[in-house]
Amino acid sequence: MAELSVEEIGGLGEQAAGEAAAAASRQELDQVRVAYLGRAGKITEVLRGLGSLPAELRPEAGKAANQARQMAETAIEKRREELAAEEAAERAADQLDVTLPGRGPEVGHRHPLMTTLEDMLDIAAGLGYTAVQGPEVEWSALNWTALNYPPDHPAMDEQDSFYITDEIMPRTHTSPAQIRAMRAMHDDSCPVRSLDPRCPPDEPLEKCTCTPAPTRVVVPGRTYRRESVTLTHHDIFYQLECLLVEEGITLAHLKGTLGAFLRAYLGPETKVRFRPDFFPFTEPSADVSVNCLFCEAKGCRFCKHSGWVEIGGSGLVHPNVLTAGGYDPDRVSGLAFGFGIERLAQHRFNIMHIRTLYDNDMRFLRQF
Amino acid sequence: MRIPVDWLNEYVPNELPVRELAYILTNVGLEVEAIEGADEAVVFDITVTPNRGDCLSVLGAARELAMTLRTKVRCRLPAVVESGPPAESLAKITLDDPTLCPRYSSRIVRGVKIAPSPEWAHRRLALCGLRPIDNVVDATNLAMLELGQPLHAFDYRLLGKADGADIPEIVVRSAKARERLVTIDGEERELTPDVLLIADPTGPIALAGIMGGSSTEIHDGTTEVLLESAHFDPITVRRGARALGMSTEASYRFERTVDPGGTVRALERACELIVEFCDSPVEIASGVADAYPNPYEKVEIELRPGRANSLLGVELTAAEMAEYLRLLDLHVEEGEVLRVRVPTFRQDLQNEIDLVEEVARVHGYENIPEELPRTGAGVGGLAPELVFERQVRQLMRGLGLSEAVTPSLEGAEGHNRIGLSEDDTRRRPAVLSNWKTLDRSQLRTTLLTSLLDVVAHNRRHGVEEVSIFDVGRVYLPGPGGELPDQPQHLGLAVTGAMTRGRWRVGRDLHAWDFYALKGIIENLFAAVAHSAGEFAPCEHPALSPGRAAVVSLKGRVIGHLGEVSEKVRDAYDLPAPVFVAELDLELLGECAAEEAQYRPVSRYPAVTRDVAFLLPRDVPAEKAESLIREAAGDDLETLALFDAFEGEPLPQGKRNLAFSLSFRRPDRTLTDEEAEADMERVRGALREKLGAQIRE
Repeated sequence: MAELSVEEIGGLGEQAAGEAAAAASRQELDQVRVAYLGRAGKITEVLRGLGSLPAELRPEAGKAANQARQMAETAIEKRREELAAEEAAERAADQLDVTLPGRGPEVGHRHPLMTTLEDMLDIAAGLGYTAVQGPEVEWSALNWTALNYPPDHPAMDEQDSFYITDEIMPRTHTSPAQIRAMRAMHDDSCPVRSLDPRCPPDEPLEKCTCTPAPTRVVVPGRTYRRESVTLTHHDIFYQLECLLVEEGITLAHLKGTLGAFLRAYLGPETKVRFRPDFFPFTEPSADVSVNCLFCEAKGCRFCKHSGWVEIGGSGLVHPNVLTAGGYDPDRVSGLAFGFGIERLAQHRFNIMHIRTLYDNDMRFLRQF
Repeated sequence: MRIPVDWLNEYVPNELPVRELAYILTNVGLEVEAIEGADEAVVFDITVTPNRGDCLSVLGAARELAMTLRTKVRCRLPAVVESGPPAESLAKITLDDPTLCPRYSSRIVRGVKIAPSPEWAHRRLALCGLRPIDNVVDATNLAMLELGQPLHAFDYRLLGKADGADIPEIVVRSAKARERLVTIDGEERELTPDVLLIADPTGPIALAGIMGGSSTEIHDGTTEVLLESAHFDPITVRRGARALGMSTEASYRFERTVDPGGTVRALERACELIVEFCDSPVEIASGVADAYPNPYEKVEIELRPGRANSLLGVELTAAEMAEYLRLLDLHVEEGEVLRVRVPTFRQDLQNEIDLVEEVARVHGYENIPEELPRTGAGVGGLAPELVFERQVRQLMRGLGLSEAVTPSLEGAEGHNRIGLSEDDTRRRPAVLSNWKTLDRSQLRTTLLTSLLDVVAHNRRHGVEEVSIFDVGRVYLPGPGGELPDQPQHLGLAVTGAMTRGRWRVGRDLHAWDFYALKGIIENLFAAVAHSAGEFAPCEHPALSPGRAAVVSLKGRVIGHLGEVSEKVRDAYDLPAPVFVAELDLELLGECAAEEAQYRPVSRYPAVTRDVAFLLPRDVPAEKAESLIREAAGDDLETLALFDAFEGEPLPQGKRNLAFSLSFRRPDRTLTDEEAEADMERVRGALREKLGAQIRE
C-alpha cells in the first residue's frame, strides 16, 4: 500500500467514477463495482491497508481513501439510475400487447357426470361414509337373490336386464356392492368373508361366527339396463348409493341423513319429500323427491307440473338383505338410499338429453 | 291405473278438493301421476307399486283413502236373487294343478238378452280407458274396475262337453306345445307350455288371466252365460303374457296378485249389473260352482311394538299401533305383542317388517322426525383406489386433457377396425346373451375402440382438435364360469392442436405428436411414482410400426402408446394423425411410490457443463443417457437432453445428441477441476462404450 501516494489514492476515485460513467450495461457497471469496491477491489484494498501505514500518514491517506470510495459509490449509484432509466425508456418504447393470447396447454375439463359424482362422494364422506366399489359385471345371485328379489321378479326378465350367462350379468344397480361391503365387515376368521357369492341368501347369517362391525359405505358406479340408446334413453347409467348398518338405525335416521345430504348438495333451502314406495331390498321403503329447482315448485315440464322431482329411492334395509350380509336383523338395522347421477347432472347443468353426456363432443366437454 | 274421482267418493264420501285428494293418495303410496278431466269427470291416473295388487281397483284405492281420513269405506255388498237350478248341476270344473289356479268360481246366468249397457256404464268405462262392448261384458269389466277381480264371460251354450257327459266341463290346465287359440281380438296364437289355459274337452277356450277365446265369446245371440271369477298364480300369468307378448287389464292385475277371497263377491257384483242391464227376465242359477281345493288361510303375524318403534324412530303405544292396523282392515289382538290377522286381499303382508311399514304409512312418513344417527362407524372418505383414480384424473386435466365418459358396451366391429389379429385374446369378450342391438352386444376389452369412437364422433361434427382421457373399465373374461377381470384403465387420445397461443410457435410445434403424449405419461409417472418410466419400441396392431412404445414402470408393463396406424385411421375415417395410449391404472397404482420423504437440498453452487456427440441414428437416446448417468458419478445432480438433431450437415445415419449436466455436492462447493474430471469420464465412456464422436 505504501507505494500509493495520496494523489494516487484520490485518482482511484476518479478512475472508478470515469469507468462507471462509461459502463454500457448493468453487468459492466457491476464489474466496475467489483473492481474497485468488491472484496478484492482496488479501493477496498487501500482501505484495508491503512492500518499498516505509519501513523503520521494514516489520517491523510484515510481521508483520501474514503473520499475515493465515496466518489466511486456515488458515481456507480448515479450510473445505475441512469441505466435503469434508459432501460425503462427502452421497455416503454417496446410495449407488449397484453391482449395477445397466452401460451401453454389448455387446461382439461371435468365431465359433468364426474363433477356430480365427486361432489356427492365428498358430501357422503362428510357424513362418515367411505366410498368403495364393486364389480360392474356381477353375480346375478348378488344382483337379485341376495337383495331379496323373489324368484321371477319382473326386473329379472331378459326383457329388462342384460345377461352374459344365467349366473353372470352387468349389474342393474350398485346394490350388489351392499352385500359385498357387509360381508367384508366380518372378522378375517369368520367364514362369511370367504363365502361363495352365489350362496343362498340366508347362509351368511347361519355361518357367521363373529359380531361384524358396522357398515357405512357409499358406492358409486356404472350400472346397466336393457334399453336401446336414444336421445333420452341409455343402456348404461351411473348410480350412487349409501348404506349404514348398525345397531339402532331408524327411519328417522334415514330421513335425517337424506335431508342433510340433499341440503348439502342442492342448497340449504331444499325441501325433501318422502313417500311410501316399494323396493325388494328395503322396508319400509320411500321414494325421495325434492322441490323442482327449475320452476321453484311452480310446476314445469321437468317436474311434470307437480313442483317435485323424484331423484332416488331409500328405505330401511330389508331383514333378508341384512341376513344375506351376515348380520342378525334382530340386532342391527340399516338405512340405504341411492340416486341416479345422470338425472341430477342433467338437472344441475341444464342438459336436456342423456345421450349428450356420452357423446364426448369436445364442444360439450369444453363448457365445464 | 285410471280412477274416476266420483266413483272413489261413492266409497269414501268426502268434501275434499280434488288436489287435496290427490295429495293424500300420493302421500300414502298411491302416486297420482296426473289429474285429468274436470267437474264431474275428473280421473286420477295412479301408479301402483308392484306389491300392491290390492289397490288396482276403486275399492282398493278407497281403502287407502279411508285409512288416511281415519274412516271406513262405505261398503254395500251386492245382492243376488237366485232362481235357477244349482250351478254345480250345470257345469263341471276341473283344476289340473291348484298351485297354478288355486281357485275357480263361476256362476251361470240364463235368459240374458245382449244389448248395449246404459249410458252411465259407458261413461265410467270410458273414463277408465275401456271400450264399452255389450251389457254382459261391460258388467264384468265394471265389476273388475270396482273390485279388482278380472272376470270373463263365456257363452254357456258354446262350451264343449266330455264324451258321454251332459253338462259342459271347464278344465284349467297348461297349454301343450303348438296348441292354438284364436283370442277375442281375432289373433290366432300359438301356445307354449308356459301358458295356462281355460279349456273344455274339445280344446282351449281362453288364456287364463289374459284373454278369452273367440269361439266361446259373448255374441248377439248369447242367452246363457258362464261367468268366470278365478284366482291365478301371478308368476304363471306373467310368464304366459310375456311368452305371448300380451298385456291386458286382466293380466296386469293377476300379475300383481288378486284377492283369492274376492272371487265370489266380484261374481255377485257382475250378476247384479247384468240383471240391471238386461231388459229380459234373467235367471241366476243357485249357488257358485267354486273349485277351491285348498282355501287360503288368513296369515297371522306378530308385531312387537317396541321393535316397530325402534325401527321407525317414533314412540307409539301398542294401542295406537293396533288402531293404525285396524284402519287397514286387519284384525288385531292386543297384548305384549300384537297378534295380527291379515285379510286375503293383503297378500303382500307376510312378516313383521311388512307391518312395521304399514304402521309407518298410517302414521304418515311426514310425521317421522328427522334425526342424524350417532354412530360408532369410523370416519368417511374414499377407498385408496378411488383416491388414486381421482388423483390421476386431476393430473390429466391439469396436463390439458378433458375427461370423456365412454360406453362400455360395443359391437365386435371395433376389433376389426383397430386391427386385432384373429388370435388376439381381446377378441374374446364377454358377450351379452340378450343384447338389444348388435353395436352394443359385448363388453369392451380395450379402451382404444371407445377412444377412437370419440375422436371419430368429433371429426364427423367438424371438431378436428381432440384431447381427451378416459378412466374406464375393460372386461377380460376369466376362466370359465368366473366373473371377468375388470381392471380400470386410463385411455388417452389426442389429435390436432395441443396448445393455445399458436401465434408465436410454428404450426408443427403446437400440434400433438408422439413426444407430447409421452410427456403427459412421464408427468403422470413422475407425480404418482416419482419415476420417468421406461419406454421401448414395440409392435401393436393399432399403432404405426416404429411409432409405438411399450410403457413400463419399475420393470412392469403398464401399457402402450403411439401413433394410430393409417389403416386404423382409415377405418375410423380420420385423416389427421392421432396419438393414443392405454395404461392399466390398477398396475400403475401398485407401482405408485410411497409418500416422499424430504432430503435436504445443497447450499452450495452447482457447476454446469454440456456435452454434444454424434451417434448412429439407431442408438436409442436412453442408452446414451443412462451411460452418462452412470459415468458422471455421484455429483451429477440433473441431466437433460437439450438437442437431438439429424440431417444436413451431419453425415447420413448419424444423429447429434446434446445433454446438459449439472454437478453439485451436498457438503461443499464443487471445483471446476472436479467437474471437469467427471465430464472427462462421461466423454470417455461415450467414446469407448458407444463409439460416440464427441463434438467440441
